[in-house]
Amino acid sequence: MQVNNVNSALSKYGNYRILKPNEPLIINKRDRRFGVIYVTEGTVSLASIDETTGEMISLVKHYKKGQLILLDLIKEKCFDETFSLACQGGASRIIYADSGLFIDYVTNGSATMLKLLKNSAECIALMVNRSASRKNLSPIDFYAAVLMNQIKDLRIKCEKNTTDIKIHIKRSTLAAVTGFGERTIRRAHQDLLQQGVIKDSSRKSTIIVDYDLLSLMVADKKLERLAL
Amino acid sequence: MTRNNSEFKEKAKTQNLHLYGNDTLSVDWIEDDLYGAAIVLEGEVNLNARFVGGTTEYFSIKTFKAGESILIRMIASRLPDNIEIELETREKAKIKFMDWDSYKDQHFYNGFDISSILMSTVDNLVELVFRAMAKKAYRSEDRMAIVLLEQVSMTPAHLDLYYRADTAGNPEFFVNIPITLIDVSHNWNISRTAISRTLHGPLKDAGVIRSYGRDQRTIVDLYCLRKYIGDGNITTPYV
Repeated sequence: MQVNNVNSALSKYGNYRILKPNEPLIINKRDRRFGVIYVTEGTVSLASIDETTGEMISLVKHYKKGQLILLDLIKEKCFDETFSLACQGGASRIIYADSGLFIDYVTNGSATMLKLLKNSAECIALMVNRSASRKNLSPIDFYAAVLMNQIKDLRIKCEKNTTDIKIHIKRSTLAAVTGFGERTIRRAHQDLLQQGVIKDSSRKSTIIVDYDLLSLMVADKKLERLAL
Repeated sequence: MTRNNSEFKEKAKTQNLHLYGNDTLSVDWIEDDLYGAAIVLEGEVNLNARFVGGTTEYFSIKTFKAGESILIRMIASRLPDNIEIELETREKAKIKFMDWDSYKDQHFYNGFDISSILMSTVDNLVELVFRAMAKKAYRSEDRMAIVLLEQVSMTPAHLDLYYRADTAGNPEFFVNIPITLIDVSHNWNISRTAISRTLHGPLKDAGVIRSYGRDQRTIVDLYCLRKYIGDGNITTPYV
């Protein structure tokens, strides 16, 4: 039986393009031409950008020769859907095509294969979303996300018959994790104290959190997607 | 509750494996071919990772839903020895384990060479593991060490990866890493100054970085880097 590969599959209905240094290819959310991209020469870097300002939000990944970018599938799972594709070093060459045709061809109707492709794209989307979420977060939201993250990671349970949870975390640690200064963290701490999310705190870096209120805040602001 | 791995192992040979609320399955026996791939049949399974010898905490990487496959063998082969993965569930879940060849034969053979797609799937997940772990590192030198390890482990073709012998004749000693790759760490809120300070600071003192030249190349002592991470030097916020 003849064995086909990605390159031959894409060559059937793909288009070629050369990426030159300092000439990034901007792909906005409505552009479906670049549904799937295959790097045939050189290395390209995929970055998520702000559509209005053109400012880079995060450098997502370097793709080298022979690697496939499932851009449409990535976009499906992304909050920020505008990307730029730039060559690294010398010029690069890519083949791009509509993803629907390509995916039908490579999966040959296999649900497992389709799920695997979607999973691969989801990993990239997670990188994009996590970076974007971190970038636009206020100190108080970041603080709340760190607290929730710690509860989940360490699998801390509520105190008996209450919704209170005791957490040990130093302010300097919070500052290091969030990238904010200690004074900013102290202000965020006071805000959370006023809102009742933090019920009490001691000098020995023990914080008592009202888990119900914290959960509400995290759900309300969709902080769970941050996955610090 | 953490179940006994040997109990799991026996069960997985004969039947689909059930995980109940808060069960964890440490996948330190991944070399066994039986566990080439895990297919989630019911429920949701989290993939976690941790540094062996470092913090005891597992870092959440990705959740797999019913019908999705976790390519355990390929993931494990791309991760350094000192990173361990774990499957965990908060609710009841059912998993089917298959050896790698059976998994491939059963699901994929349709005249299309899927190896590059599989590799890219695994690459993306492995990258996620490294990034999740780097974000958890408290000190910037630790983040930098993980970036370096990631770059070395991923061994991309564009990386000018070469080895030269040390005085003892060890063939796998140095690796050159262009600064453009280290720039990826900007995503983790490390400034360029911090990168430089880190490059010339603690990691150099620890012997991990040998030199950092004007040609924007960092020479890393691979042996020291693996030892630095494996010895539990990485500190996370929650210790």
